[in-house]
Amino acid sequence: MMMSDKQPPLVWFRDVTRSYGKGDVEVAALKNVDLAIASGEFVSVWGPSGSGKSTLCNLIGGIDLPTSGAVQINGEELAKLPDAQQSSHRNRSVGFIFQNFNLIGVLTALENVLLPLTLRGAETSRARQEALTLLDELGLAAEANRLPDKLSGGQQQRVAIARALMTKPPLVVADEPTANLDSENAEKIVTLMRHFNRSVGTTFVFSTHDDRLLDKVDRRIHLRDGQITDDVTVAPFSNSSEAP
Amino acid sequence: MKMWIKLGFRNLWKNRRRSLFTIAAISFGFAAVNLLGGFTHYVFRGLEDSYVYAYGNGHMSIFKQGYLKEGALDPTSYLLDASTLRTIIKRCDEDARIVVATPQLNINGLVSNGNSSSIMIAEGRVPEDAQLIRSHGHGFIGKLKMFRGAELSSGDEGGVGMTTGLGEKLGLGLDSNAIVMAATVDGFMNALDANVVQVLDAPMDILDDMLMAVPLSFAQDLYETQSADRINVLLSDPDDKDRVMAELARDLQQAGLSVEIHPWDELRPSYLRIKNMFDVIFSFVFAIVLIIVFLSIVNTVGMAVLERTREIGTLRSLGCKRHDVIAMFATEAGLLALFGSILGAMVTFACWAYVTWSQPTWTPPNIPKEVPLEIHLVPWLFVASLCCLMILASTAALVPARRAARMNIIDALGHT
Repeated sequence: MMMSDKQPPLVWFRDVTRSYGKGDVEVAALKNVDLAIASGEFVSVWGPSGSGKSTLCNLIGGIDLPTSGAVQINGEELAKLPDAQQSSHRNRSVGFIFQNFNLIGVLTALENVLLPLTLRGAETSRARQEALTLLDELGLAAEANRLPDKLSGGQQQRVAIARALMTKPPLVVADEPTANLDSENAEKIVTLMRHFNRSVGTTFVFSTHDDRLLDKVDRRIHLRDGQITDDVTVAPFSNSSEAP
Repeated sequence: MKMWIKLGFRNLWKNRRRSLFTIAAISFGFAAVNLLGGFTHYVFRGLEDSYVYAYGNGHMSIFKQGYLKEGALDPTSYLLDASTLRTIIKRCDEDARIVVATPQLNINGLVSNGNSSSIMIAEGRVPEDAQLIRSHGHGFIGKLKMFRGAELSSGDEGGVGMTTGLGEKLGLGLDSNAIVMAATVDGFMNALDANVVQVLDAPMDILDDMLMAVPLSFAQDLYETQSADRINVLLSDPDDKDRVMAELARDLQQAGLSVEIHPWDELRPSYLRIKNMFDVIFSFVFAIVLIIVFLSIVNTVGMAVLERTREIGTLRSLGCKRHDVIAMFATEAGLLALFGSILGAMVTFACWAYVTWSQPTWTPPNIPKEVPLEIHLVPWLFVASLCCLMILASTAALVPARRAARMNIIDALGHT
């Protein structure tokens, strides 16, 4: 686990268990997990199906809460916050990239990118310009006014990345972001995430079952049966900028 | 809010077939309420106008105190004497809001054709004043003549009107001679010659074989009095009724007169009965419309919530608060109500235009002849229906919207 002694971890799990169901049918998706992820890390969570990857990502992203134990994101324990504050936290501190892209079908690519700002009432002409720049940077300038169903899978996922980065969150969580893409597009997406990790310093945590993508990360967390079985830092992470 | 309107509008467009059905249901509801409301308004207006204008009773009547309660058995003891009549009419003439204040004396007695006689009741009015009141009626009421033959005239004292049934009973028609008999205020028998110059349409069947219309001077001569039992007052603006009544009551009391003033609707109990009946029918239709709209909205929004579960999960994960999710669906339902109301207003307007163009006729319960059937456009009802439907639609959306807002984000995101 690579972490500076002076800097508190961005993500901090202490003895976290997440169970589903009750009584005899209770299933623990995560069991007594301890984890710390520092700001600026580029982390992959991998393991077989049912190992708890998505549950871990959901807890990091604050869209799920632990059954026991504590999850702190940026020093805040989300479970102790009321729902409205949890929503504000997600809006300001976390960007999400989903396996199925989850773009809003009736909004254009540009409007989707602006959505997190629109939800907090902060959509300005400057933000609009920034969104256009971001789309341009992702090679989607020409697609800004298209609806998601007019875009390819790779393009939709790039729009989702732009949406996740639009609020400049310290943390982006991606659950199987390449699962629905071909290998070429999958590699492009990971390269893009890596680029923003290095150029902006955004922390990325993404789950994958694609072994080929593991070469591109700083740290690999392997899960099996809801427990971390391996946590390897393969290269010292850096905040220095690097072109994709 | 702008965001929810944009999302709502686009989602309605995306599911335009379903939206159209809901909008159609709302629009038919809106049109049903407004057409029935417009017809009811026409009936109420007809009831008011026929009593106030066509039958010449004015907006209010002034009686001697106690006339309505005790005067039925002894009407001649509750007459307004000549001096009182002058005082009241002078006060009314000074008020610019009053078009005319005219005395009336109702009489009863016998009418004879020389061989046989029949009981009669008659309204003695100043004919010119009655014509003036009639001419102030709105629309067809202003042109409606409730008789055949000539107008009564103060210059032709013996010229009287008689209902069709009474004329048939006595074998009297236009230009027939008759003798009208009654007891004077002093209790002596008196008789006057009369000439039938008009045949009246009775306002109610029960009056058809006994009602007459006579000039006030004829009625006073028959009763050998200069008094009248009431003064009818016509206003230029009916909305001034309550204010004028209060001021008249105050001034006449200060003048030492013991009188009571009653508005026209109090003197016509059938108006309130018919109004209550229509109010019940209107409420019933309105309730049915509201239930249909409510269920349509619940169904449409429920379907939308079901179809957009993943979208709800996405929005919530991006920081959308629960109340924002509710606002989103409530706005969408509000838009459905708005579009439905706009379409409903167009349907109402088209029906109104058709009725105005085709001019169908009917015989209403209060007027014994065919009159044009109308549907009034009632602006306040349009606005009230719109507001009501918007509020109802947003409320109906709350049930499925609250369910959507409380959805577990993970479950919502995993929904297929």
